[in-house]
Amino acid sequence: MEAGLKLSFDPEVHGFASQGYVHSTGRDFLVKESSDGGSFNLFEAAINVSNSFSPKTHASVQFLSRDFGDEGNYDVELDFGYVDYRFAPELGFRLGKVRLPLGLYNEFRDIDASRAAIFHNQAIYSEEFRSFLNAYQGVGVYGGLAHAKHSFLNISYNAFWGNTSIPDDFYLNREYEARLPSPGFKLAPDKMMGFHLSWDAPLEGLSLGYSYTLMEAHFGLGIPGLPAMEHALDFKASQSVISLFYQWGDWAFSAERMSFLLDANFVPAYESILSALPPEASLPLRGAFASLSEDVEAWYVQLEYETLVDVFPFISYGEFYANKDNKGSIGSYRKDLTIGFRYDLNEWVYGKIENHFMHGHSAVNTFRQSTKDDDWNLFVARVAVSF
Amino acid sequence: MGALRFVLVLSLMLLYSGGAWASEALYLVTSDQSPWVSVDRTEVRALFIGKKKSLKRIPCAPLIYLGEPDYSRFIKEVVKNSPQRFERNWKKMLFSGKATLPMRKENMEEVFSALRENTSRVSFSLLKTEAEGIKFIPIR
Repeated sequence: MEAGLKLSFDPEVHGFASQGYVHSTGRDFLVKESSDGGSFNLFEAAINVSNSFSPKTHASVQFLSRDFGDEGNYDVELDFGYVDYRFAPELGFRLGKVRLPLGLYNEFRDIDASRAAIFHNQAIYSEEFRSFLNAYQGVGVYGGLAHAKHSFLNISYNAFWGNTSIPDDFYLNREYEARLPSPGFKLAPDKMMGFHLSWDAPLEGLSLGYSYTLMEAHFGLGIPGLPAMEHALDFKASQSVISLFYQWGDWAFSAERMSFLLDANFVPAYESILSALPPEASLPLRGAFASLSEDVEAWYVQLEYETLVDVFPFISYGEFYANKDNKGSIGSYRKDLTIGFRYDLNEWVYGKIENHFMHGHSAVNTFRQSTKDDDWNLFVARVAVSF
Repeated sequence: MGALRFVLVLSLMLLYSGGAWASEALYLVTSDQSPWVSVDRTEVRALFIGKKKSLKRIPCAPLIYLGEPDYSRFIKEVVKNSPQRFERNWKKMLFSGKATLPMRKENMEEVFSALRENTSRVSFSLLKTEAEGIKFIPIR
């Protein structure tokens, strides 16, 4: 298939590193102690080794170390590692641990150098869910249909099937270890699948997309006084995102809307155990897991601009609702207006600043909350180098 | 008057978009052993942003010529991006594992040398010149 093409082995090494600072008012958000004088627990560094054996075949591996509040703690992990074979423009395969295609930016969420913002809009690209939405392990198939004359046929697709890995320090694991007397509690993934479709519209610069991801997992429980069970609760998370991107000269506009359905149910064997308990014992347990069944709705819009002096301002606004059928009550929503900019010192080093003007606190982790105000701020700054 | 104003604004938008209004030709530069005889902007753009790894279904790899004004003209008129956004796009490709960074050369002699060495590489130029073992294909 590759006769006549020169194969090469000349791996390239690249990487990036960044240090950030986060400060919130009134409540911690994303990073523990962010509201107590701010936190520098916002670090990441990566080494990437890639080789294109031919125009059709290449392989890439990236190791990442990050410190994000209670996550990471500078542990070095395999961020991704896979082989990619492009059989034809319409068909290619990826095998290994691959960044997960979801919406406009999930595949690139860890690539700080690729955008103006520090955090993608948290209404959809929640850093708390990064651990299990970051990548899939399995097989992906992708390709594009493009026609120079009939541009309405410019469609690309990216589908995958496999599983994901969830680290012990994933925020749900930490949340439930804090809430329940359950040492050894863990979320274990069973399978993951999904797809992303993208259409380049005839209007130059406009593209539309749709993504769907389904993850199935289970929880093990070992609550003192009750039989320990490795598979006590089934957990299913399905997420769909509709995307729009429009670039016109130096302006770039993006808008996305997400539906995120979480469903958790005790397996029949564990349900029997709970049913045998008196209500005062079983109700707190049922209540602790009730919040895992949610019907989330969120959306955002964002505008970026490229100036002539290496400064890239942006503004974004997003809304997050933990339950789409209950949007009005306090604690049911989180609205985020973010203004910030990026400054490129040179082709390797850049800095970013952004402020999130927040209204509401839905799904804000309750590490620490010293205010009941609905209005609060999150300030983030970062300096980074990529090579 | 309102209609006239609308047409004027629309014309300015189209002019700024730098699409079909480019006045000078840009050329795809390849080895004279390569199979391509004609190419259009859409497929060249797809190759140089990493969306495709072939031209006319024939596998190839982009080679970026950094000389000016060729680089800026090519990025603006064919890739339809700013140089900064173009570079950020390749970083996205690299750090998501989808591609390695394209080869870059500072001067045209180095470009010619790289193209002669590997006939699956393609680059670009504002000017058509005489060079042994090299051919220039207008980008339509």
